Amino acid sequence: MGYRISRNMEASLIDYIKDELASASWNNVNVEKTFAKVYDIDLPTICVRVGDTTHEQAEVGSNSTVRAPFILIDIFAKDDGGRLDLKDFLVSILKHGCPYYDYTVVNGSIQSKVQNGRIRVTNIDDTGVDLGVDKSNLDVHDRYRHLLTLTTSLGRMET
Amino acid sequence: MYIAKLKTIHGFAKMRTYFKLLDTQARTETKALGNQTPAKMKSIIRSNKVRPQEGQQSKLENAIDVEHFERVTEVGWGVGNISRLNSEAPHWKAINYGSSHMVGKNMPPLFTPGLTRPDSSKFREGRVNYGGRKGTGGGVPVTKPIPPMNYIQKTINFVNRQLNIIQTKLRRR
Repeated sequence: MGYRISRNMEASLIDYIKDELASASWNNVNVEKTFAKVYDIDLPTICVRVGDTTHEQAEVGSNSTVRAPFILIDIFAKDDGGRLDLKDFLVSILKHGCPYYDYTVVNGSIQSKVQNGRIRVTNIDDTGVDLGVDKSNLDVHDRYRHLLTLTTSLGRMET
Repeated sequence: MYIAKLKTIHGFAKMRTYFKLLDTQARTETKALGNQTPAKMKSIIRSNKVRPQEGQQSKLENAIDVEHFERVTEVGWGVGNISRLNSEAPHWKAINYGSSHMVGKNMPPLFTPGLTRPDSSKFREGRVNYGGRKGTGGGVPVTKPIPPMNYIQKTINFVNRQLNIIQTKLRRR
């Protein structure tokens, strides 16, 4: 059994970010996909989620659609400098898009992955998260946060 | 030569009319989108509420509105006046971005199923009150962070998509 498209996208993005972090010598940065889990692990952490997805009709008279998933990437940093560096690094790697993989899962764990196109990033929004509360009153995870929102496309029609 | 000039002038006049029409249409469409946007934002909030209320709008929904501004050179609008949100629904950031600031604290009791506080007519209808009564020192300990609703980002995504549609429409004129 394999993941469907949304989970494939999440997993592909997580793999890509992990690989790029490793090759750029960013050490001990966690990449997670569950928001609540972030609070149980060390900083810095990146949380990747697929948000709303639109399926627009590709052409008149056809049921084919074009998927446009909205990706939310939360950055939880140790300090303000780290937050800015990490978000700039992510923007620099994500603007080129990344490989999209089809994952095969056996008994809950990933058995294999095969590249099946690319995730194209058509827009990136870059927002600092200020919860409006004195940082000393916040959990360490909420002190230095940033949010990247990506508009993406797989560049193909789904029949 | 003169005829050509006249033609050019005529052409420019036509273009001016065309741009005026485009400008009017762009302003109308943008304004209409401004009116749709708070409704969209509220619908995102409504559909993502963890504890839906009986058809009532929350403080957050009540504080979201559109403000139009129109000048000679630009037309626009803003949704969600920050100072109004800060005073009427100060939790707007925590709901949007998610936060753990409530973890470990005690909240006033919750009623399940997740509806508003029942009135006396609901007595003995089987709804459970967890955690004792408000103001008596009881409460429900919060153990999980508030999940991010990202209603702002989702609305911006909606607006961008609609703007693309408007641009395509105007280009086809």
